[in-house]
Order: sequence, then structure tokens, then C-alpha cells
Amino acid sequence: MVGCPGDEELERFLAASDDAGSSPDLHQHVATCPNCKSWLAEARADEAIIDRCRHVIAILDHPPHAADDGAVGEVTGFRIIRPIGAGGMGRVFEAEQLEPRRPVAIKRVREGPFADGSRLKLFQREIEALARLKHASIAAIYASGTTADLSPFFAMELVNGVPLTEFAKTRALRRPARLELFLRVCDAVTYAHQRGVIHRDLKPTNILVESDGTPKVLDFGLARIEDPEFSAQTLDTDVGRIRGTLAFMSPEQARGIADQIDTRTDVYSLGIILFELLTDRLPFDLKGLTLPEAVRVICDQPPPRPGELDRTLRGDLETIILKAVEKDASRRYDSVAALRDDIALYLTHRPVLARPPTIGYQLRKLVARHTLAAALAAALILLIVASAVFASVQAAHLRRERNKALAIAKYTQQMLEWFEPSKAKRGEVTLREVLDQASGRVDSELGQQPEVAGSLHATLGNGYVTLGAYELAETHLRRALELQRAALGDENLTVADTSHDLARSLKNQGKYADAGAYYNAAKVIRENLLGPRDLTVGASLNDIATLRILEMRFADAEPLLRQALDIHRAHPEADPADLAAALTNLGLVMFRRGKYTEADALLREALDTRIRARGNADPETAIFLSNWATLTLHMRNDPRAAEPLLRQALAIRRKFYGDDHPSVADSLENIADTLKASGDSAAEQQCRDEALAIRSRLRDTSQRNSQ
Amino acid sequence: MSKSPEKALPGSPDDSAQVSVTSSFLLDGLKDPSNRVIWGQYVNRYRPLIVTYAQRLGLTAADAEDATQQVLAEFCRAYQAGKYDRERGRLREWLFGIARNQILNLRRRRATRAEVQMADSNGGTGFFDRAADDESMSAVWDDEWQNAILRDCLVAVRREVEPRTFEAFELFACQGLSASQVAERLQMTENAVFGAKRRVLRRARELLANVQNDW
Repeated sequence: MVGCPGDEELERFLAASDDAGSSPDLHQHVATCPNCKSWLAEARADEAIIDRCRHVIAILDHPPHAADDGAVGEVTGFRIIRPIGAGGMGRVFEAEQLEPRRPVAIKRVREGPFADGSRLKLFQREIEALARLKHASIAAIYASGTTADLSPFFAMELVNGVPLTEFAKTRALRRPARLELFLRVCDAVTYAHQRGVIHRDLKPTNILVESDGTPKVLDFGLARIEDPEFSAQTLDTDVGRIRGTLAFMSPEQARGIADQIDTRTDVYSLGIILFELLTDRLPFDLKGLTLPEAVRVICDQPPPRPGELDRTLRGDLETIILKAVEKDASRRYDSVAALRDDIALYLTHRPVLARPPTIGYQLRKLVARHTLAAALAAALILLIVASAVFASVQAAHLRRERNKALAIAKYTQQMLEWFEPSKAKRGEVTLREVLDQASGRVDSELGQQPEVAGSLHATLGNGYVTLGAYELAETHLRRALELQRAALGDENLTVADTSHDLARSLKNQGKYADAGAYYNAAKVIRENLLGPRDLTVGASLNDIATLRILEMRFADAEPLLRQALDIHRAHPEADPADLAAALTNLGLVMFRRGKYTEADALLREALDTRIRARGNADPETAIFLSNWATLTLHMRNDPRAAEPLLRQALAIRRKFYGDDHPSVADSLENIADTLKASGDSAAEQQCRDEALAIRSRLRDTSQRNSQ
Repeated sequence: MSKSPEKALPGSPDDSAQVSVTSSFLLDGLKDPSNRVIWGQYVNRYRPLIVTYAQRLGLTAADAEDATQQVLAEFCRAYQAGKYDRERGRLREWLFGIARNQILNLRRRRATRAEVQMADSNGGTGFFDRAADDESMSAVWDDEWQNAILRDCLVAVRREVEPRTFEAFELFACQGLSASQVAERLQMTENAVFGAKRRVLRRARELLANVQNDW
């Protein structure tokens, strides 16, 4: 062959792979010609880019402008009539549904077209959840699907109305009528909240009032679905969307703190709407501000007092509005229902409940609870103190008495652990007061008995650990360690135990480096005194590994857990619960390292071992069940296998804690997730409703307790 | 229905996608909090990247969007407070650090509910979250970063070439249609299809080389 082939020919050569369809001459030429060789090398290098292109091009902004500028395109089952506006969500069209025949509004969601089917499915499920909201003052969602050009759309009730504030102004509504109207909006929002749907974008333009005075809330929950990540949405629409909403956006939303957005976010937006409804102006003037400036105003600038804008608002209404628009969500009304009730009370001239927030109910809840067991614990602690004092004067019996005191301390510690809510039925016992009372007395009464004092500090520290009061726990455990080291020396197993406990309280505070040092100190003592194969060394290794896990250092956690596992397996006589712990942790680590087969085997063995150790009715076993089920769902995407395990966990918890307990709600939500994955949305909703009911009952109870 | 979006920006939105804008330029612009064009370009450039990233790490679409908003805001805040030192590290790493933390925080809270817990030696449990480990988190980030740059470059190439050229590239190189199928569909010769592929790739490579280190 004379001369090099052209690009096209080389291209064909490349496309046809190396043998098929090309002449032997060509083969020979490209095998020897440096030019052609480098052309081909470059082309093959391009394959890497093309690979990436394939991925990127699927999500490249395919210009949906065509449809945006004009028609919605074909939508099966609907007859498009005319465009009626463009919202942040995308274009809106008036249309007629063919079956059943009714007028609808069709919204093309901006996100589409979806690159893959699973995202579309997700969208449809979300829409289905919203479609279940049936309330006279919520614009109903009728259907969803994709348009001919694969953009997702949904069809909703066509509302002919004007924005809330505009309605109030044009009809010149007086204050009681405005408030009545507002109450109806609150009712609609409350209805949705009770079904687990937060609006997230409440503003007057989303609340239209029909000519007969019926308010209709639009776009419920859509702010969450609307997800424009890959769309060709432009910068201005984006800024425009944020701006249209900004005035009513809560500080937590403005900051973008996703996990703090809850029903109180809607309380805030309603508060701003109420402000505007009653004063005819917005609390914050955000015009002309940049986005970051506006966010700063929303988060930091206190709203003007409504009473200063309109003297007649002074008193209750002002209090109500300001409570609704508190920057800190915990100072707002807990629910829209509570806001509604206060307004209703105002309308009937009764005193309102809004008042400065009181101390956290957590503490009160603890203190408010009872009982015999706590009294018993108090008595025991006093007994220890008494024994110790007694011991100090009866020198002859010192050793015996001291041993006794230590035994009691140990016993008390076990009792304290027994009080831990997950270990005691219904968790109706609180220790806080008992511990607080005892704390102050240890040093003053046991100053002469450092060893006993140390033991008691350790007891108290571990008691605070069970209450989750880790800082107090740390203080006591540090003191205990100091006393015990002085009394017993550094190389001592009690010192090791206390060091280990201190590490645990540090870990729970997120002080990982510190925790590691104390865990390690305990491990070294145990190794020196008991040998490297002792069970307590295994415990040390396991707990150090949990630190590595928390630090996301999975590769470092793995060898520690394998060592711990070896030790536990070598002690068949020991409590298999510790073996189960090491197994589950290694299983989780292997899961994170992508070794699914091994992870699966380990987690299953962990579950079996746990059941062998504690039976299958124990609440901690429920955690093992949940773990394996959750990861099975993740690894195998097999909701049908996960569901029965989660149901078993649920049954255990119901039996142990009763129906109204947060972990029962957790279980229900986990089950709902699997039902969602298997597409059973009716059952899913049932579980979510049930979980929600539990949570609201718990909230009511704790509110009652705190009052 | 809600009102139409406010038109607040002087430049056309398409400008924001031009690869000629370097990250240094964006960063300089962000120093002035009132520079809306820059703020918008900045959001436009990094948001899709972070959203995709968050989703690959297991966040739901809505959570990913929320997390991204916070990442961008935090980045902007920290930058304006002078915490970003261009000498000390590249934008890519810095943004990664912020994104990683935000996503982990969100995951942590979500995962607690999902109740995958690890076990202490004494039977206590702690949270365990289901996200990727550090190594893969940063590998995924780099991967998405490259995707984002390429996406940017492809948008630019698409603006430069004939629509048919780009379409031919898409169908032939990316979607795997044969040259003859593409030629028939787009009414061009097969040689033109090959040419289109080379032209787009060559230009994309040029652009990639230009922006790679300051995107």
C-alpha cells in the first residue's frame, strides 16, 4: 500500500475493530506506519473521553426550550387548551382531562427529561403520595406521567382564584374575615402535616382564593420534588424562583439546612403571610438585595413589631405573629394546629397560649418521672456512702467492709444500667435527680476512702453515660481514674476498666482522639496482665474499631475487628453477645468496603449469634434484625427479603416497649421504606401514617409532661 | 399560579456556561456580594456537580438539592470571610471538603433513622452510616468533577459547531448508532459522520486542556 489512508478509512478501520471488513493491506500498513499508528493511538485514547461523553451527554441539557417557548407537547389523555403561566416549577397549561372529563392544570416539571427510569419512578411515587391529600382547601393532584418529549408532568385541579393577600385587599375584608380565611388555610396545612407532607413553599401566590371565598393551597410538597439538577433551567429562572419565595422562606430554609426543615418551617411561612395579611406589608424588604444579603436579613434581622405598624395589632395578635416567625424553630409554635388554635382563641376573646418558651422538655421529662426504683437506687447509694464511712472508722474490718462497699457499688452500677430506657420496660425510670444528688456528696463524704470514692465516681459516670449526659460522665470518670490510679497504681484492671469507660464517654462526645488514647491505655493494661488473647482485650479491640468506623477509617478498622473476632471465637464459653457485636461491626465495615458477599455472611452470622445469646425477643436483637434487613435491601435490592425481618423487629419492640415508642415508629418507617422499594404505596402509606400517629402522640405526651 | 421569574441579570444565561470563565474569575467576582452575575454563574457551574455527587453517595434527589444549596452558601460565606487561600489548595479540594461534610452530616442524621448501628463491647450501639468511605468519596468527587468539566466543554463545542455536526457526534460516538444509520437519519455522508466525531472530540480536547487546571 502506498501512502496513508485518509481519516475516514482509518475511522472505519477503528470502528470495524481490528479485523473485520478491512483489507489485509490496510492492516499491514497501520501496523508499520508511524503516522497511522499515532493516529490510531490518539483515537483510542479518545475512547476514554467518549466513554465519559456517553455518561455526560445523557444528562447534557437537551434544550427543552422549544417546549418551554410554546406548546407543552402531547400529553396522552389530556387536551391542552392554553398556557396559563410559568411558575418556578415549570410551565403551566390549562387542559382538559379526557377520562374523567374535567378541567385541569398541567404542570411540566422543570427537571425532565429524566435520564433514567428509576428517577421517573421516584417522581411518580412522590406525586402519588401527594395525590392522596384530599381536602377542600388543597388543590388536588389528579394524575402524573410524562409528556411526549419525556418531561414529567402532573395534572391538578384547575383553580380559578386570586392570591390570598390580593383577595383580602380587593374585597376589603375586615380583620375577623381575614383571620377566618387564614384559619381555613391553617386547617388545610394541618391536614397535610398529619399525613406527613410539608409544603415548604407557602406564599400568597400559592394560596388562591376562589370567588366563593374558598382558599385553595397549591403545590403542596412540590418544592421538595422539584429537582432541576440536570435541566436546562437558566440562571434567571433560578434566581427568580428563589426570589419569589424568599420573602416567605424560614431561616433554616434560607440557610439550606435540609434536615431542620419540618412542619415548623411551614409555621414560619404562615406567620409571614399572616403578617402581610394583617399589615398589608412584608416584615422584611428584600428588594434590591443580593441573595447572600437577603439570606442574612432573613436569618439575623428581627422583624418589626406589628403593633408599631398598626396600634390595633398590639397585644395578642402581635404575640401570635411574632411567635410564628421566630428565627429559631424551637421557639415557634410547635405546629400549625397550635398557631390556628391561638388565633381561634383570639377570635373568641379568650387568652392565648403563646408565651415565652420554657426550658426544654427533655429535662423535665426526666425529672417528672418517678418512682420506686429510683428511690431504691437512692437508698442504695446512701448505703454505699454509709458503709464507706462506717468502714473508715472500723479499721479492723476495713478490708471486709471495703469489699462490701465495692460489691454494692458494682450492684448499683448494674441497677443503673438496668434503668437505661432500652433495658427497662417502658423506660419510666429516671436517675438524673438521684445521680445529681449523689454527685455532690461523694468527695465530701468519702474523702478518706479514695478507692471507694473512685469506684463511686465511676458508678456515677457510667450512670450519666446511660442518661446520655456525656460531659458529666466524663467529669466523674476522669475523677474516678485519678483516684483509682493513686490508690491502685497504673497497672491495674480496675484502672483499665475505668479508662475504657472514660473512652466510651469521650467517644460519645465526638472526642475521638482522646477516646482512642484511653481505649488504648486500657488495652495495654489488659494485655500485660491477662495476655493478648483475653476477652477483655477483644472488647478493647472492638471498641477501638468502632472509633475507626466513626472516623470513616474502614481499612484501619478491619484488622482490629478480625483480631477481636479471633479472640471471641476462641472463647466458646464467653457470652456470645460480644461475638455478635464483633461480627456485626466487621460486617458493616466489609459492607462499606464494598465486599458485599462477606458482609452479608457476617451480618447473618451476627444475627444468628445474637439470637443464640439473647433469644429473639430482645430489643437489641431487634437492632441486629434491622441492620441486616436494611443492608440486605441495599446490597441485593430485595425488599421482599428485608420486610419480614423488619416486621419481626417491629413485633419485638411492640412487645417490649408497647405501641407508643420512638423505636416502634422507627421500625414502621423502615418497613415503609421497603414497601416503597417494592412499589406497594398503599401499604407504605399505612405504615407512615401509623408512625406519624405514634410520633404525634409521643409529642403530645411530652408536651403535657412539660406543662 | 405563581408569577413569572424576575429578570434580574444583564448577561444571557448561556454566557454562564462558557468554559472561558475560569474559577479564578468566578472567585474574584464572588468577593463582591452584590455581583449577581457572578453569583449566578457560580451556582450554575457547581450546583449540578454537587447534586449529582450527593446522589451518587446515596442522598435522595430532594436531600441532594438541599445539601447542595448549603454547600454553595457555605462556600460563599467562607470565601467572603477570607478563609479560602488559593495558594494553599485548589478549589476542587476545598469544595470537596465542604461537600463531603455536608453530605456526611445529612447522611448521618438520615442513617440514624435507618437504624444501622454498630455494637460496642458492652452491648451499646452507635450510629453507622451507609455512605461510601473516604477513599471512594474522593474518587467519586474527582470523577464527577471531570464529568462536569467535560459537560461544560461539550456545551461550548455544541455552540460552536453546526447542530447537525453535534448531533452526528452524539448519535455515532455516544449512542452507538452505526455510521450508516446516522448518515441516513441526518441526511449526510458517512464520511461526514466520521468527520463530525473527530471535529467535536478534537475541539473538546482542546477546551479540556485549557480549563482543566482552572475550572
